[in-house]
Amino acid sequence: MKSKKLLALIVSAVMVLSLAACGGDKGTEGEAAGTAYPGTADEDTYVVDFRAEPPELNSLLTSDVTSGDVLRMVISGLYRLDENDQPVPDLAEETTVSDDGCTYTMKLREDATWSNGEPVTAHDFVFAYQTICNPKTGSVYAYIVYDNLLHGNEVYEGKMDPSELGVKALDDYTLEVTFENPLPYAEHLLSFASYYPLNEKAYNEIGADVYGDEADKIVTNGAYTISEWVHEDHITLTANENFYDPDRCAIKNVKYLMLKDSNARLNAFQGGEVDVVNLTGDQMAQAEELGIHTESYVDNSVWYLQYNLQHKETGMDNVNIRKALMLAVDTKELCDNVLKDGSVPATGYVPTSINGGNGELYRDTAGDIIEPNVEEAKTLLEKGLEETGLTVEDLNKISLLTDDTDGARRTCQFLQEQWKANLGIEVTINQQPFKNRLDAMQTGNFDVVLAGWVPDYNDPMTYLDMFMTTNGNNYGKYSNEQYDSLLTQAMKESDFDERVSLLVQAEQLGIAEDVVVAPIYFQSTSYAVSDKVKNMTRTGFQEFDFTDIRE
Amino acid sequence: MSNQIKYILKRVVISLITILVLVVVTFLLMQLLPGDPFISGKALPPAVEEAVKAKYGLDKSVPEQLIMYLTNFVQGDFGISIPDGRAVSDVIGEAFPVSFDLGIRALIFAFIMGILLGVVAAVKRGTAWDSTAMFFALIGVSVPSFIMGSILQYFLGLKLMQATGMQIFAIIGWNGLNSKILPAFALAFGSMATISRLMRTSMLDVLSQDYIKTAKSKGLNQREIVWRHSVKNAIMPVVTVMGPLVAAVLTGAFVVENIFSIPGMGKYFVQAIQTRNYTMIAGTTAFYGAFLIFANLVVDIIYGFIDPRIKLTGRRD
Repeated sequence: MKSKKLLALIVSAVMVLSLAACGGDKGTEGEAAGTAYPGTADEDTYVVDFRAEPPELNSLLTSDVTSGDVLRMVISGLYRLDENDQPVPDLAEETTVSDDGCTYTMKLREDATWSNGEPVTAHDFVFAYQTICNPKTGSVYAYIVYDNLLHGNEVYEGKMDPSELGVKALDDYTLEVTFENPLPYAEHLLSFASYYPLNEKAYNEIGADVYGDEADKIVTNGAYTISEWVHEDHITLTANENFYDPDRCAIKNVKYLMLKDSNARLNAFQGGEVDVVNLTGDQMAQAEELGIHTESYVDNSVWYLQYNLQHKETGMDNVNIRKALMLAVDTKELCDNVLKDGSVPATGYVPTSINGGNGELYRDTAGDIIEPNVEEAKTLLEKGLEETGLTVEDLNKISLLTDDTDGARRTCQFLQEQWKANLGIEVTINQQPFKNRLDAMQTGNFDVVLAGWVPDYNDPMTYLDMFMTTNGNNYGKYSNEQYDSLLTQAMKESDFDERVSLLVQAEQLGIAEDVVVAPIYFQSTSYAVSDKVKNMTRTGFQEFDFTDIRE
Repeated sequence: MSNQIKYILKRVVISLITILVLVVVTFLLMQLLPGDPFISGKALPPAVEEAVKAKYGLDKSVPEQLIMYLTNFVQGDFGISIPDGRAVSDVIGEAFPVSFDLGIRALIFAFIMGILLGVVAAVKRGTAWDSTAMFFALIGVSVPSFIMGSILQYFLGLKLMQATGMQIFAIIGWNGLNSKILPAFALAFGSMATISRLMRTSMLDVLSQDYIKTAKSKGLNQREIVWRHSVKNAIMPVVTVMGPLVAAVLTGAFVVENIFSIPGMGKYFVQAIQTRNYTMIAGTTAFYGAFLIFANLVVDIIYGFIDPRIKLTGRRD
């Protein structure tokens, strides 16, 4: 008898618990209306979710976004980006540009110091640029420097002495940087991690192999210093008391966490353990219900379908079939109902956030060059089938390659659905782990692949040059002499209005006419932010920054 | 006794050979994975690809790389993690203590609770005690740790805090005691269930033995029979599974560490393969292998203490 009562008690407890679980969401919804999220307790510290460990803080070797986020805060370069991603002088107090637009002579601030007490001089830049252009350094991003600096390629290949590289210290505080071509984005490039200075003495003392591996194995000169770094847990930056412009620090400490799980992120945010977390599309609606303040920004990534032009058997060499597949997809519906994270339909290949180099945003100059149109898609498909002699059956063999993530699967299922409904083509989805997907792309083992591109610098060139005949990223093996020539001209053009018009022509030719790829959407990043956080910059080129003080 | 020492020495030698074979096989298998550590969304110019591969010795042939790796390996150098440049031994040295700390808490909990539940269920067989204990065991076996972890985090971490206004359990991180309870419990739950089910079966078996009946008929009290004469005999199967269990739990629980954002070893096993971090794949596999072999050796030695009839000689009748 007694044991039966106990059993009844347990069963009812379980039932109550499960009821509570079901009702949980509703309960909080009611409270949500007036709920504020004041943020973490310590008023001197912002706690921000970084999601991942910064893998490499040696500015010569780094190539990833997360490391760039840390370096931007702790290293001062010649230029830096303001809250709108536009370059403003940092250490370069005065800059004169030569008439041909290639040589930048910069007078450096004399009051900047490294954390080991040494002054920051022009020699630190010369050392950094010469070292990154040495193949022995083994930098994956070396080309962002040697492709742009005068004689960079020759120095990297060992055909010229490093002293011939386009970087000279005219005196301790005067630096001369010479580019191979006139670059409208030169100042933006100079704000980039690969162009940061490096203190030679510290680099040699600490040792190139371990430089930047721990908080005490890096020497910095920026607004913040690295005060604590527990790998895979957190990295804390503290305002640098010796910085030449201490007012630029938005707060005394920024603690970056490395949370791995998206549900855990939102829980931690609601629990007041973190001030800023990124949200998935599904979480955006949830956050809204909970009364959380959310924001989104176009983060410069473009997602597109790359066609393998070599695959004739599935019609990938035919421009009308490629274009039909592009126009048959309602990208707006994809953004609004599947992604739901603020991403916007691609109206071209170059995202809306990118500079044109002529003082305007590129998209404002180029306009919209893609608009979904099912009727036109149907006509084009018929025309394409006629031209190639293929049937819809043949196109059913198209395999759509993509990553093995949940988001990629849903996007591809949407594409699959759209093509089936609008064109009657039933493609199969082939999900692969990231590296396998890349390997398949490199070896040309795909029909269509959903791929993303992250820019190297703030200019359309970083998007458009990847479809030049000899470019390593041209996985579809597109080759059009006219396209190549437009871009080659643009590279050498010193009139930046003329230059942007060449780029617009190239985009029109390669994307709208030849449909080398089908742009799908410009990705956005969405995040939740607590009431406490002020003066945070989140843009396409600065995922996180706390060194822009607004008036 | 000298026989036993000889046996242990022999086992150690065999273990070392096993680990070496494990490393060689892992090293060769990972070369079959498509792609390499440097393949990324952006194609590298050929000159740069050549330079970075040369830096990590990946420009050499596979046999050459293997010999180089093994030479360093036997000297205790596990190589450099690609591409972050940290020594693999440093990474393991930092992450393993965290996983061990979490794992040992979970194991102690799982072992004590598992044995208790199993014994109670067996002794009170067929009663509500039995059903309740086995109900928990069933949940433990069937609810994966990522669900258990998420539930605990949401209800006991977030909701309890919102209800009481006090942070009784931390939602994320690995700092104070209040951050260690939920992950340890989430990790322990499954093992606890396995242990209790095993213990119950084994106890039932022992309780039906003649000598227990004899003890009963001679009038020994229940507590004496259960704890002194039954548990000691019934615990052997549990000890047997403890070897692999200990190795699995102590070297890092990917899922639980992920949910609670604990800087342990779990993620390296998964991430190393995803990123083709060759040295890290070989390093973590060797480490796990060594730990598993060691745990099993310890289990074999413990047998001898629990049941003196078992002699470790390696000989079979």
